[in-house]
Amino acid sequence: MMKNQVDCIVRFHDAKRLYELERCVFSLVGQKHRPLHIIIAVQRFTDAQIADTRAALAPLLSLPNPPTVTIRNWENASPNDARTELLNMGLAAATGQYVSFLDYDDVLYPEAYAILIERLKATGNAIAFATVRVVNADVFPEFIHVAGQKGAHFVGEDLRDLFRANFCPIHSYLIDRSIVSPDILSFDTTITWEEDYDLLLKICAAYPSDFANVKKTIGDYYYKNDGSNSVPVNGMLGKERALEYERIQAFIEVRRRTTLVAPEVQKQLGIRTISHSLTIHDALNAIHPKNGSWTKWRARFLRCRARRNDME
Amino acid sequence: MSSKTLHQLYAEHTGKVSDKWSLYLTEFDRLFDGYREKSICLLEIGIQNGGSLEIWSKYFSNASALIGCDINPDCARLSYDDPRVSVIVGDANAPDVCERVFQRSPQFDIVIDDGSHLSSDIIKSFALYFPRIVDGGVFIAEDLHCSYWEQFQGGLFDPYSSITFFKRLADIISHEHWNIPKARADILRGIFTKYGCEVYEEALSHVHSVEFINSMCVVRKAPAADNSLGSRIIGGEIEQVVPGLKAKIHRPDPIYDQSHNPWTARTTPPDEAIQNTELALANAQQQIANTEQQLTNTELALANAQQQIAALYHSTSWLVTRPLRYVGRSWQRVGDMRAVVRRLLRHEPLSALSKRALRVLRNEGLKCLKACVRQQHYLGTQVGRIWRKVGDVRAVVRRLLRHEPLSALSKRALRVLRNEGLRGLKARVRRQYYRATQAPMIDGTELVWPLHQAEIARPLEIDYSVSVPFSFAEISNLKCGKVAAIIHLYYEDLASEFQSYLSNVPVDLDVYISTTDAFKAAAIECVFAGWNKGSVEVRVVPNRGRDIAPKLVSFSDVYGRYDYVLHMHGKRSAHTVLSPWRHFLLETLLGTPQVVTSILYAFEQNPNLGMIAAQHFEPMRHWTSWGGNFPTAQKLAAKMGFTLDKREPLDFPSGSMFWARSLALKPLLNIGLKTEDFDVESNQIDATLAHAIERIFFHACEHEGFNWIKIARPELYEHTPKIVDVPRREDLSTFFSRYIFRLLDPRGVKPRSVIPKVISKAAPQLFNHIRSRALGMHIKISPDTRVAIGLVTYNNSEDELIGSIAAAEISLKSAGLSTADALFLIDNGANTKKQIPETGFITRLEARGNLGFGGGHNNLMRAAFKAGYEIYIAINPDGLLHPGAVEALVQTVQAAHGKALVEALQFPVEHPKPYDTQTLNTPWVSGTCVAISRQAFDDLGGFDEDFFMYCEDVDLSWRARAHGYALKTCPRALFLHAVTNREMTPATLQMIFESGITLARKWGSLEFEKWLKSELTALGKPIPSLYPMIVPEEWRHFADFSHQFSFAQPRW
Repeated sequence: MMKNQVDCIVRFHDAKRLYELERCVFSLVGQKHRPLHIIIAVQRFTDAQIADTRAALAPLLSLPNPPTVTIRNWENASPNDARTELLNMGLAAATGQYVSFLDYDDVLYPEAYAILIERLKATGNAIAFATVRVVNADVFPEFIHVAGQKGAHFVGEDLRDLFRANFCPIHSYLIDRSIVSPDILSFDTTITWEEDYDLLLKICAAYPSDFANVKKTIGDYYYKNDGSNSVPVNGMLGKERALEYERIQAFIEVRRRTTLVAPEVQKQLGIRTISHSLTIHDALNAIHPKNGSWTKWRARFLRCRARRNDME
Repeated sequence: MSSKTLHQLYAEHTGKVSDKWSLYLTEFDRLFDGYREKSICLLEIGIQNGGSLEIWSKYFSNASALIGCDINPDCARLSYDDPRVSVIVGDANAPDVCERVFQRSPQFDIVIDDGSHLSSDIIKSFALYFPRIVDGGVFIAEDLHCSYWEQFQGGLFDPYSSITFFKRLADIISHEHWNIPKARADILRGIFTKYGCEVYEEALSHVHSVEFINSMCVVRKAPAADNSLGSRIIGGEIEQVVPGLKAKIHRPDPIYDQSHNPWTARTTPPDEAIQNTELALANAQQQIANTEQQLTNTELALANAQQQIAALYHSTSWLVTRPLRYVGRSWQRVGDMRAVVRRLLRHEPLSALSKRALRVLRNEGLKCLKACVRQQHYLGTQVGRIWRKVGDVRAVVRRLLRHEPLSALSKRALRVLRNEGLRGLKARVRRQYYRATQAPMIDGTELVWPLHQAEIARPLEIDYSVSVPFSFAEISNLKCGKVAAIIHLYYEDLASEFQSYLSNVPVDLDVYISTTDAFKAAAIECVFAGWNKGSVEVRVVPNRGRDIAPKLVSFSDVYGRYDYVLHMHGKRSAHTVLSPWRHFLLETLLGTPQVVTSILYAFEQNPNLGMIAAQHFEPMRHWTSWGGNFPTAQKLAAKMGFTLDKREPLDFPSGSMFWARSLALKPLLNIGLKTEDFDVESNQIDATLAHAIERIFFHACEHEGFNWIKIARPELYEHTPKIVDVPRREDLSTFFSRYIFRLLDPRGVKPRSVIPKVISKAAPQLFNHIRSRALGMHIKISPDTRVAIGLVTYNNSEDELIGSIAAAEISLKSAGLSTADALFLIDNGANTKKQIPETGFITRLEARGNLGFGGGHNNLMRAAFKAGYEIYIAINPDGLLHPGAVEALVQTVQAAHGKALVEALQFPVEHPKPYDTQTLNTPWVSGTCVAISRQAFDDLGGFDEDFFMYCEDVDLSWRARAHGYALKTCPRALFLHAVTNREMTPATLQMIFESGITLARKWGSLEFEKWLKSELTALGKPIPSLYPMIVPEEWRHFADFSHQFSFAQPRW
């Protein structure tokens, strides 16, 4: 494990969108932190497409002190949408102490990793969080135009909020692999939606996490007008999609009810009586500040979210 | 008798020419086998050179009559030795010609239609001649492949094509099985109505068979009785597999009534029904679009009226008449008061009323008494209004209760309240209220019934334009007379855009520009300073008569010196739909050198061609009407010596931009127009002299004896038919001979009766063109282009500097440019000689202390331009140029011919100030990474060194605009700049505020200065004493202090 090295796993599944990948990698080249290793996980690319990808990135990597780049190709015919498999494939290729994720159409600010590493070093925690901004983007053949930024999209402050719902986009955190066990640090491939949230629940239940910079913006999430943002479940529409969403919500709830919260995490949550059999679900019921139980709160939350999804 | 086949006869034939497809000859041999020995009568419609009649005479040796009929008058010259052969000249479907044909032979055995191949003609011929064919005869329609083509009134699924007609005849053969009381002709009703013909039921009952062969249809005729299925014939005795058939023979077959079969019972064939529905839908859509346009106009008119009201309020007459209005109002109040008193007196006598008033006065004072009176007044006037509203609400409730009971209504309301909240419920009630009391609505959208004036252009189907560019037009083949561009630019900041488009004129071009004040003129002159295709003259003219008066009056002396003139103006349509109109016209008339070459070629090839304009911009075309301009246009026409007829079709160069032969504009130039004749400018949108002239340009051109045409770049149109492609020189001549239309002699062409679909947006390709042009995507940078990069250091880290310099070198190399000595560097802070090794890439200037940002770059620019560099790219030392950034910046600068300051896009977080995604224009450019041409440096003098740091780029930008320069953001050029999560120190804030004050003083914003002074005072810092030279008042509208340090409406 290369000490101090950040591995950034970039999912890239559409070879026609090299321009966006190149922007994404440019933002990584601009990171103040080194060493940096970019792992580009691609899905069933041909040799020519991989060569094109390398060629597109070559000029950026000729800049002084460039990051290293590895391209890994998911060659299996299944599953059709290998988004979760790509992340695991990237994790398998990671060699550094820290690991992070970034979608090919998003960007990070130059100081992003420096800020997160500083917190990980200062606290000794397994994972550190910041936040990202959501911007509306118009995609033109020659460039991308940021039309505006969306209001507070990822709302949450701390571990309690994270246990309730995911407010941490995939590129808003950094994980210390020297702390997190490989058993925990892998995505569940049975879900193609909220797979990152599932991972966060596992990590944050097992190890203390840092939310000191959760109001600090370290990157942008591009919400594009051409509809090319990654769709969680390929080809699903309407009712089918809603059913899949329900299934995944049930899966996440099972995770909450079966994942034990480590004693030090219980302390972080402010639970006074430490229990070795406390699940995330129990912890939420124990700490929820509002009248009414976590279960009720969650039911209300799900209703609101379903309504919002309907509207979208 | 000849037994030769048609193939043999054609091979041996030496007389008049005839041509037939090979398949036809084979099929004719098969079809005519039984006729060859008979004494038949044959009619062939369409004979061209008449050769087929000679061959038929050999083929049908016993024929009694072989008649050819052709519309071509030259066919009258055809003569034949064989007396059986005769030719009739005329339209076979015209009654008199038909009569002549029937005089020769009242009946025929064979009719071959090889005429115009238009669907209408074929169907009409069938209707006329099929009844005259003897039973056992055939009607043959040739070349039916044309029925799949629009040019011959057809198409694959066209419900009115000839092939569709014959397909329907196939159904007619089986009429007895339809099992519904419907006549044969019923399924042809739509086609007959469309083409104005008829085949009677009796004749249709003789259709025996319809045979389709490639491009050919053969309809055989037989007595009606022979066309029925007849009785069932059974032979044999043994029914081993299906028994009972023999028993059935005496029982009639069951009749399955199809009256309820939706596919049988429909009155109109599905394809016709679809077309009718689509037409109705298109009409409805157009009505909606008209409504939207009407609404827009109303809004514009409202805004105009509001402006006029505002102007009136500040006018002297309004101020002077204030006392009169006061008296009027007071008198009204007295009247109101009397009404109040009268009402009160209705309830109590005057004495009691006075007593009550006195009591109130005593107990609660005068103020309270006044309040009581006011209350009475208010009650008197408002209560009625409120009561009326209550009545309306009651009407709404009553209306709702008509459809559902109160309980259901309440439940529905509760459900809405729960799901959408009180606001949603209120909105719904409001909608209901509106429906009950006001205008009709559809899906929550109010319908404003169109008041739109009828379009009077030609039908779209005959509104031809010619596609440009012509591939065959080459500038070297042109004589090219003298050419001038006459342009009115009210907005001087469009000068660089026009200069860029005018560069596409591949011949010498003198430019005449008018504008409305001396400052604008100076800016325009600055932009055109390097114009090397001819002379440039800028004239200041009154702001009157829009672009028309400046061109026709102020430059009336110019036309005589030139063969061709280009009329342009800086049209800026605020409305979103029309905002790309100017670009559309520029792209069509000046888009590429090849386009302009094509235009000049057309003029040269056709000496009668007087004007070339763009086919209408699609979102604009439905405004092809006289508007409120007919009376003025009529007067103008009378002055020129012709008359206008409002019922005739109209066309005009919408947007009043076009190419013209100078002579064609003579009528307008000779009527002695004066600037004073034109209306005083007050943002009119119609009905001015200028609008009237715009509508009669083509008439004037025709009156002078010239023709006009419209051109189109097909990619800029999505909904405009009849753009004629001219791949060869002769096709252009054909276009001139076929499609010239004269407004003064419309030859029976009437205005369109079918209103075409209203288009709500320009073709996407237009935007691609605009963007691509602004980005300079078409430009291949010459490796000889000398581009310098400037870096002013100030105590930067070694890593930062090395990264920045390396990225600059890579970016230059990626653009294919020389890197030798190309990076100009000066230290404003610590000496960097030790950190940065001397290489052949760096030109280091001796440090002179901290010169400030602008001072440092000015020194570098002077050195770079002195050394022969053409473009200087200033970069911050704490950023990285993307490898493709230099190429993108240089392309954008070159696209603007150096008349633009071009900034790179800061990445990953952009500056929030906006930029236009098509033109790339931005309100100001940041100095973080900006490309400046040598001309720009010469014209503007670089940064103002009164600014030590910050705001110097804003000042440079505003000065650049005042000099006519464009300001552009190049979003393809990324400059990685770390600006996020940075702490702002008090020293930095002080520097920003001080620079802001300098900017405010220089550009005359007391308010901004005042705000910054308060900020500095809050920081405990002194107010700067520097007062820079203030800019002229005429420049100040370029400054925008209304968004603090964004200096423009930010995107976030």
